[in-house]
Amino acid sequence: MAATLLAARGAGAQTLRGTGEVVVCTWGGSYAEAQRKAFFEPFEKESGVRVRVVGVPDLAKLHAMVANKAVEWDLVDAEGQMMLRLAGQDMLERVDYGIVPKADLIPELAGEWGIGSVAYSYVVGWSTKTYGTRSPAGWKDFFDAAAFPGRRAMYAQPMPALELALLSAGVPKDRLYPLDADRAFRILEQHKPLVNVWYKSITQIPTLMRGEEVDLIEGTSTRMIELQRGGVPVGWTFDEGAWMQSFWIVPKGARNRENAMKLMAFYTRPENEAQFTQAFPLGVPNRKAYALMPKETLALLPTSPGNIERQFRVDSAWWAKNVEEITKRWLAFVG
Amino acid sequence: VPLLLFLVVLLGYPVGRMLVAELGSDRGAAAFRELATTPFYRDVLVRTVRVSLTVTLACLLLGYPVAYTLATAPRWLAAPLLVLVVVPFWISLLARSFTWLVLLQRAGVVNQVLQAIGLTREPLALVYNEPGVYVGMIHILLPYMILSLYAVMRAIDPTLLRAAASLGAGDWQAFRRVYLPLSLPGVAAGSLLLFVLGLGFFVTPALLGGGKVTLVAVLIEAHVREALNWPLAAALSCVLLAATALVLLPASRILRLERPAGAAP
Repeated sequence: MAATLLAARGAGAQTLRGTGEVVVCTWGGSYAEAQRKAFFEPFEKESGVRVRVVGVPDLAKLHAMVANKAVEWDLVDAEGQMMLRLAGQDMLERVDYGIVPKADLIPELAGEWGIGSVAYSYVVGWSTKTYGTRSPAGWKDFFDAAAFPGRRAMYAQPMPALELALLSAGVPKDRLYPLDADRAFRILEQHKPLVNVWYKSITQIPTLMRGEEVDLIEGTSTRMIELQRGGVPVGWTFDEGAWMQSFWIVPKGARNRENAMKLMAFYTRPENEAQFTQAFPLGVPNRKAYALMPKETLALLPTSPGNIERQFRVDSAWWAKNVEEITKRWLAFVG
Repeated sequence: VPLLLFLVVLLGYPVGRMLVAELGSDRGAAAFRELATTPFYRDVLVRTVRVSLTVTLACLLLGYPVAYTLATAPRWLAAPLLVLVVVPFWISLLARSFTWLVLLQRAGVVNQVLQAIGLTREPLALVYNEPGVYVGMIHILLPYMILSLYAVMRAIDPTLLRAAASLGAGDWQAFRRVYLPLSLPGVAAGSLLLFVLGLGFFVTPALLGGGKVTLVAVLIEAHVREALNWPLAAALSCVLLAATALVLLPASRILRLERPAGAAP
């Protein structure tokens, strides 16, 4: 058994050997640090390919790079709708499943244009100092000023604010799409006076909660966990959370396409994915990784069984089609 | 002239090319129609001009005494003071904006002090609104104003003030009738610089405004980065550029005419 395992490992290692470098564009901070430890460094050791990490993924930049044939990034950690919009304009390389092993991936995360990187979730978060043992159960409570008086912060992005508005008005989470944008904006218009801060960047979530600037927040599960681990009195729930899937993509004309595919292949290893989730409790694409995680980690992942059913998945395809029009309306709405 | 060439080649050409590429098509014309017919865009433009003007005026009032002190202080004192003025340039704009968030938030240092000394009972809303944007923008732009003023003030001959005194002018009169007019070119240069810089701000208003203070540059950024609606972004940039030119050209003419004889060249 050990021998076959070793042999399998040996074969894998052989195919991943390469030369030169691969430029990875990912999100900064402790997230990129965790990726470096769990994936990039061991990949360098095994393949001999140098991994250069740059930040941060930017649709407009990538679009301009590909349009002008000056592609600086080989592998990009992209939001789902980013991938679909670029694919729609023929700006991506197809995933080479001759290099990337597909068998153990969650089927919908082994796409034509990318493989799943992480799944994350926007959830209801609150101050337990303000509400004690009372917990908001979803977005209806989040916007209920009588039941939960207090100050509120939301992410200054229409995705997934439109979905959250519809949920607050009682639309069932399996019947959100195609979004009724007119209705969502009407509901948001009513809720608007309740929202004290529209935050621009995810990094503001800890500042807002630590500083007791708000009592309720549309936050990411990872930031809420980070706050709890730091001893800040906050609560949060996966109930009615909006989970989204990111993908690793390779821009068309990437200089180190081959190396990018190899790093993607390495990213699918369940042991490394399990190690990554210790630092960052996010959904990972290999089904087998979940069996290697301790119970406490599983409980924190947006996509583990038991959690995923409580949330809804944001439909990247709908957003890729409608984001231009919605962004226009959204800017006029918040500004 | 070399500087002008530099600007034309490295700034004028790419900006011009971008505008032509994005606006030359039917989508460009449609974008302008959209700007003209949507009241929201006019509101944002008016707000941008208002915020920028307010910040410029505030920086002038705050910066003038500082620059005056720097220019008239003995050299051993002026040098370290000048360093203090320049230090913020080395700190990233983002870091400084975040620092203001932490200081001005409801449980922040400023509110805690105000409540501790009994001036206020409830925390004041100091940030995530328009005043918060003013604080952040003034802090970031003030050094530019001080340096513009200082450059002109340092060239003012101190013997002119002594001459005024010898002719019977009091301190205030000498300042008002000699020093102030001589420093006006600095006031003009600093104000124009700040006004133009202020028009293009987007990180600070987006963070400190709590998403509620949308300025033109915030819109441009969103249309470029999120909507990928480059024609609309280009049209907005065009309008901002035109508005800037509209203010700058007459302003620079008037201010030059007012420059009194004998002012520093």
